[in-house]
Amino acid sequence: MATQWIFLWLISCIGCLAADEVITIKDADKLLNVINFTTNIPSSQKLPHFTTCRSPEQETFSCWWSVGDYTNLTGPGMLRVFYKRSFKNTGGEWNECPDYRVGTENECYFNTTYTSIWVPYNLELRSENKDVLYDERSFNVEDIVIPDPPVNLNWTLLNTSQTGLHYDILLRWEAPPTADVAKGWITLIYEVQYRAVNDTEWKVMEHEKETYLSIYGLKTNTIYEIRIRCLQLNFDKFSRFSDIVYVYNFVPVTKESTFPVAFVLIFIVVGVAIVLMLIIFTRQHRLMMLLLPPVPIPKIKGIDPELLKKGKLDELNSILSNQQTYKTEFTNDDLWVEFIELDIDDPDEKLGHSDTHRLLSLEHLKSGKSLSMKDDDSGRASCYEPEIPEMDSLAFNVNLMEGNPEKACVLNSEGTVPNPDLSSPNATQPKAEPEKAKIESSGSEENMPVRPYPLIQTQMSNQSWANMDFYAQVSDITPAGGVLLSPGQQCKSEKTPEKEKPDEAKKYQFAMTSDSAYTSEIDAKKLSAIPTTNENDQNPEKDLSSANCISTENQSEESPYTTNETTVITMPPVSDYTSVHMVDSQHSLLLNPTAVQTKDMSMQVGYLTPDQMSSIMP
Amino acid sequence: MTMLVTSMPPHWVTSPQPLCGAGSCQPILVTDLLDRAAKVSHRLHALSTAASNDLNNHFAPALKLVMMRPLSLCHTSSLNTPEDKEQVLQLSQEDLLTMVALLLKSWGTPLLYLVKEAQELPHPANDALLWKMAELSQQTENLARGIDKILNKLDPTGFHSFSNDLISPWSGGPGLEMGSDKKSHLLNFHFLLSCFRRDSNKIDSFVKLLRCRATKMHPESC
Repeated sequence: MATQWIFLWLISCIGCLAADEVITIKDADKLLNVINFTTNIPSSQKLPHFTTCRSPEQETFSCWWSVGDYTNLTGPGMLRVFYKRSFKNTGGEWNECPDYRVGTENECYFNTTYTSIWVPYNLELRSENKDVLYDERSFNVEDIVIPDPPVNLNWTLLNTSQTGLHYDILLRWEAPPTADVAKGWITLIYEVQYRAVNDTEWKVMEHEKETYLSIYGLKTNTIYEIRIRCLQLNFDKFSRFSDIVYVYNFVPVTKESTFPVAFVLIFIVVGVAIVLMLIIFTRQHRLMMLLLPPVPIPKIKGIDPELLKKGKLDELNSILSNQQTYKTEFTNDDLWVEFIELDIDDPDEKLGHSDTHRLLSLEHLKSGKSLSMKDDDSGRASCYEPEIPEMDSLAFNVNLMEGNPEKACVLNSEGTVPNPDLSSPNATQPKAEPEKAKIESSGSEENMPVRPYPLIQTQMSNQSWANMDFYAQVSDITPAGGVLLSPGQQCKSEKTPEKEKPDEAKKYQFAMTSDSAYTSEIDAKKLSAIPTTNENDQNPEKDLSSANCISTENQSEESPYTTNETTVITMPPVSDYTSVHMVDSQHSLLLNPTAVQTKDMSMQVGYLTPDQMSSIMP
Repeated sequence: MTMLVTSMPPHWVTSPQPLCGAGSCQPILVTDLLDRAAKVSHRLHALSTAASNDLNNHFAPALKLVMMRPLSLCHTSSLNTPEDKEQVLQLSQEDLLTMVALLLKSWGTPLLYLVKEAQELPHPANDALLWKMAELSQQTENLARGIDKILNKLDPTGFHSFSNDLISPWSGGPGLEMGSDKKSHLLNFHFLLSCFRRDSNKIDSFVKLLRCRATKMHPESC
């Protein structure tokens, strides 16, 4: 039944094809032959057939066949191969296989004489008596070229990576000797495959035209196997694989290199730990400061954390009120006001005084210009006292000393404000007068920028500059232009020469800052910069003076504190900062009290609002 | 008075000056030209193989049997081209080039026909076939011109030049147009393409042989 269907189909094919001129008689004959034996022979059995025809180099070729299930046809001569070459439009003639290879079974070999390229071949597998056609093939020789595998694989090590884990090789091989690549008869391309021995998949490289290839990134201490196959260009039939070449690179892993590294690291760590421990436990402060500098804890300037801990709210309040940042009784809207800042420099800088000098000369020229001092939290020294005595005028003559630019108010070389003719409620500095005279004289001269400065410097360093109030309230202004400060200072100046036993450095620092209520930035720097050298000198002074003065200050502070609250309405607040009206011939700043006074009573001392500023400024 | 026959040749018969200025351009070596020709011929063969594959992949296997028209029927089979390696190696450079030129010129018209046919070919891959045919046609012309140039270089006297009679005529095109159906178009197309593929392989082999022969000083290029 099936065969009948095949027959019918084939007949129909012939029928439809015969209508064209395409099919020739020969083709029809072929088909009929096929039909013949399909009908006669049961289709379950496998017929003898050509298995493959192959040319290794496009110069010779061979065809092999198999007997299929017809084992009785094995043996030479039982099956015969006939071929025909179609030359030049001539039909050609059928010839028998020129060489049945006796050594190999079922092979028909065509040597160069019988091989023609670009010529169609027809092969037939027939029975011994030529009657039965078992199989046939048609091909051109160039289409059946399957090259031999490449030969002479070898590799050389290119380099090894620095880590010793990878290496590169250069793989070389040769074209199969049968293929005449040298003359260009065939063109071959190669495909390299490699894998580690225990891998399952081969890595396939890109096709190579050359006979060498570099392979990168192979792992050391692993065996690789490499194989190559070739194929004719533009065709798709690959050769067999070449012999496998094994690649191995042994790089001994030097364990010793790891040992010293770890050892050295441990040693270093232990050594550092020991050194640190020594330092910490022997309490070498200096070293500790070097190696483990103290972490600056947040502190508000002028406030002792001890005070906070003790919970003395009154003192705290007074201190805070001094700082002008927590004046709740006043409107705090005017906190941020712009000021023109006078040039305040580090005392360390020698140029500072010259800048001030310039400033003063400038001020002298522009007499009409008024300056006001800017308040910034750096704690520039000003003459403020927590005590608020009776004040008629807020103006105070500020004698800017040459070489002492950071002090806006007049200070003598000892760091205290000179009050020569002062009839202050507190007996102030008896020593002040001669110094003041000195200062005044020096202040009047423009050409002495340097001298008083170092003088001040030294005196300050070993004296009571630390003990003084940097912010002191001016209580009165003398006709001569001196400034009378309210009493809090006197205790400081009296206590300067005394000494006390040393105490812990940090405590002193904090204590010092607390009793002065303000510290200038410079002073703070000084404190931190020279903690060790002058500690023993300063600390007892500070301590004593602070201890002594706290009481007075407290007394004085308490009262002004209360008075502040109570007298806020009655008395105009003493301002820390007033606008500078002009600079007179003596290089002193003339402040402009009235404007400030009349303008705003509730002005927070030390700050001017922009409105006030504009009113003040001409 | 005897005529003074000047045996001195006229000044214009001296060796021809190169058209380029003095030393400003270099003459292209024959090896370079052959290199380029080899590239083009390689492309021709690759394209025709690809097109054949495109065509064959969509045919039922049963039809392939009957489509195997013997390629001896190709119109270029009449050309007397060598058929094996020894014959090829015996030919001179110029002869080989002449043959290549003949082959290329024989395919001019049929390729144009193929391009036209590909446009309406009842085949799912006819778009791919169309551009391949167009490319084939163009590159064949290109190569033909190149081979002519090489021939001129190697054989300026034109000793090996051939007459256009030798070019194989191709008559298959117009005749089939009349009353032919889809199948015949397909079969014709397939046949022509197979012929061209075979010839392109021939051309490619010849040119590559010539190239390797010309670069004897640099055998590594082959």
